[in-house]
Amino acid sequence: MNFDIALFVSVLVLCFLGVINLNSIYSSSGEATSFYSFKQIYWILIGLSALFIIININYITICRYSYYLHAFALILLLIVLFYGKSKFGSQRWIYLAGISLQPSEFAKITFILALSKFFSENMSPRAYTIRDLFWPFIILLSTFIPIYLQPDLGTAGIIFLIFLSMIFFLNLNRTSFLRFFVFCAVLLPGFWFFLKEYQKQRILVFLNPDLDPLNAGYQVIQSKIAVGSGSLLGKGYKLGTQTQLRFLPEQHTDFVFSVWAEEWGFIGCFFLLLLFFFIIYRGLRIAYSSKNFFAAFLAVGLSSLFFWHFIINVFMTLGLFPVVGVTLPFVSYGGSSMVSCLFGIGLLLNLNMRKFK
Amino acid sequence: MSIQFDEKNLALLLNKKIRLSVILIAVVFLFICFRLGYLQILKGSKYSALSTNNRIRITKTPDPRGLILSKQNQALVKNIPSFDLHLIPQDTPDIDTVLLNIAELLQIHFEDLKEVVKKNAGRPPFKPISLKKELSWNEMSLVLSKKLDLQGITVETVPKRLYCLGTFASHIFGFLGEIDHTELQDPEYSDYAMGDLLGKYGLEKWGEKYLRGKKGGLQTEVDVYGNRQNILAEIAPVPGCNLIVSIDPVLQTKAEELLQKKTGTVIAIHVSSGEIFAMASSPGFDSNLFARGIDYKDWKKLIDNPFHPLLNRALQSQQPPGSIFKIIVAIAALEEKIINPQVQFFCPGHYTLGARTFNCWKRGGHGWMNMRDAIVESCDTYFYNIALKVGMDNMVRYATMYGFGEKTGLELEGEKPGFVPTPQWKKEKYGIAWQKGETLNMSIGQGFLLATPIQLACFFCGIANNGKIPKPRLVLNVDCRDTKERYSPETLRICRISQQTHAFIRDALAGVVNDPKGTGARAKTDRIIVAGKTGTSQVASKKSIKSETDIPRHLRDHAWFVSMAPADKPEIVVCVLVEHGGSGGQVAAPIAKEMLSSYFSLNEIQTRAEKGSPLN
Repeated sequence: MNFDIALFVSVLVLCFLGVINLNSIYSSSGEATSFYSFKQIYWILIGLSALFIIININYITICRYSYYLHAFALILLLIVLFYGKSKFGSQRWIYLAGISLQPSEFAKITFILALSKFFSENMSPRAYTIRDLFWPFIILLSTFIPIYLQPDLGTAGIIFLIFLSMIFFLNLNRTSFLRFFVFCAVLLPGFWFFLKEYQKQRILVFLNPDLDPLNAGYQVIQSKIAVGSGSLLGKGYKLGTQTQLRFLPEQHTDFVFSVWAEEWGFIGCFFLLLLFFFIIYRGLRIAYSSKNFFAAFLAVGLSSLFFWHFIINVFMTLGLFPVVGVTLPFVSYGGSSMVSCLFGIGLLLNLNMRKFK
Repeated sequence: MSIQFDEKNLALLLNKKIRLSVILIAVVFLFICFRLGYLQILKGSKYSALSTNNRIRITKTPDPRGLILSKQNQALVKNIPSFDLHLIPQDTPDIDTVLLNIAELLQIHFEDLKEVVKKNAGRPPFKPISLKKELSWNEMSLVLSKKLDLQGITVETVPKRLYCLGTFASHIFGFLGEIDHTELQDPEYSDYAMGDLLGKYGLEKWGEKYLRGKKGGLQTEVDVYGNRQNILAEIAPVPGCNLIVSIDPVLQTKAEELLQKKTGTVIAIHVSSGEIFAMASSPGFDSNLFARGIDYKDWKKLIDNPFHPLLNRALQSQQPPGSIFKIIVAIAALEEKIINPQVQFFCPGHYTLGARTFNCWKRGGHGWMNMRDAIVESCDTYFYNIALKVGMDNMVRYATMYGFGEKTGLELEGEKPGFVPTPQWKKEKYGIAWQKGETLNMSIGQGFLLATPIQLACFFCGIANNGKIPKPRLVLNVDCRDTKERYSPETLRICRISQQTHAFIRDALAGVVNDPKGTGARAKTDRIIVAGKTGTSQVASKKSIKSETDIPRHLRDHAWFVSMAPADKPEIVVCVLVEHGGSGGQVAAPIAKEMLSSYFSLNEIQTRAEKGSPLN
């Protein structure tokens, strides 16, 4: 057995910090004090069971079923689209046995599995051209479009970024891809017209937060105030005024990092950053040391998933990126996200355990 | 199914890219570190201040203004709560919706509200904007019941002045007004802020430094909805000091009622202490209109009123004293031993000096008059006869001695000094020598001579008090809870006149009211012996006019009556002036009588109450 104990422990520490952080959020309000943190522990336990189940299955077997798993996730996405439960103007949830599930979270993992399988089976000395990526594009669009239509711009964007990250690791034909990027650059402004009004608003406000300081720009301004006022050492646990007095919006999902930053300061943030960097680094190290392309692509894909989630969420809270609703893995409240992230870690641990086979 | 690495190059390329990406990722993380360092360490204090601003509000708590109380501790001016509608724009997610709700709820025009908000656009954040002052109970409960739809709206309790006597005594209590720009620059008002109310007239103005308390402050922590979470610090407001005044609400009300529909003034003053029990000036105004700042329409109405309701006639109406001045002439004659009071002069109804004829008010003549008769019947001819013997010098000297031509100096602003003319003054002013005829005119209180009602009241206090004239006053003490500032009676002036002369005058004045031929007979009461003197000051020459009622109002004579009672041992002086009222005996004397009867019946009730015997 070659269990990456360091990766596992750092993920556990991160989950623990997440619970602590969630517990702070409702400390001052009249609501059930540890409602979110308690539920989060529950999700962590489910996620850990998923993790332990998955490390006992040889990843070669998982590879075999990758397409089917992704197809299943796509069906769930379609169900969400037609029968889903809407919240905040978008349909992201379905109910299964009394639990609300967010299939897009699982689709991210199966998407990576499906792409890894395709790339590993289509390795050739000849460099990839755009034409060779026909099927990967199909996989991308079949995942991207239903998520985009929910609409969940954040997750759709993550899917696209994972896709770009994974093809970055292919042997690419430069001229072909240059042509492709030029094509994309031309298409991008056209993309604007497909955005919903509130999405456009968010992007405009991101470009200029003072455009609407009371509504759309409000979240970013309050988040920056929370982060900045944390200073070097933070205001102290459960003492963040931006958090406790609810000046900070969406504290338990999009802006958990701001809560952390306000109460633990630069030192706390730096520690969190180190943990995330370590997890991503470990993921890439597993990819580096893997003995086959499937394992390598899977590890690279999962690392990119954590990387982009982390980067976009933190950039959002620091006012460097529009507020698109991307959560902070292991720290933000959310069952589906937690379970799928721990599932992803399980896959990484799995790859590491079997790298010498 | 598993793919073995037969293409070593591809694997090498992949690993090269993984190494590259680790470096790229490290760069991105480093960038985040720098960004965090920038926000949290470099700009940390700025954002800390911003987060403090977010949650901490400093509000001022209004200071209750001091009360004005009567001697019996009855509140004459007090504070009542009034309710204002405030808006804090920063606490409102959607101002227009909230304003629309308010407009609908309170039946106000939405545009007006919008205008108010727009006018206050430059305010510092979290400073409330006052949307509407003085909500009714009904409106307030409506707003409070819909509070959930009205985020950012609060109802604030603001103390408001209530003048319990309404339009009565308005000249004494005065009114409040918003501080103006020149006052704001005055160092004396350095702790006042824009929009603060301060006394602008009457005792409110005189007592500003006592009545005003100290504003309190409240530092509170609020949540994102503006709900108060904690009070972090509190400075309690200090209420202002109370003024205890000599005004007796019953007598004051009586005086005001007697002056209804008349232009004039009534003063009731205590003979030895100078305490003013009543001082009414008609027409008056409603001080309550000013309680939260008067609106323009009401102000314009007051200013444009031809009877000048803002004038305090007791201090500001300067009129010739008419026959009341004869007392000065008589005193001068007695003190200088110019005339034996028993010497009689014959009054045929007129007096001839050179080519000019001076008429007595009684055309048929009074017949033979000694000094007492002349005072009782107010014979002009007698005084024409003695005027030149007494002379201007003596008249001026004694008039000045009793306070003519000089302010009495009571607390209220704007008192007029009156005027005592001298031959020298006339020469300087007009370049013409003083005429003997003018001395005659002066002896019956006409011509250039001017006096205010408060001066005549003080003059009579002097006669009643054997020459000692107290300083008239309204404020007895200032009660600041911990310190009590007591104002003891002051003597305004002492007239060195023999007791005999004063006794003679008092006896003559009693005759004015009580003798069958006295001009002040209408002031006579059964209860008490009143002494007084009528006066009628001419506004226009009466040669061509037959009857009093034919004269247009503004040309009618001013009616004076100054009285004291009881005649043998006076306690109170009542001075009445009815402008353009006609003759003093007919118009002013009955008012004085009513005042005196009320005073003495009140006194009786009080003494009985003190003795503990039941009223019958």
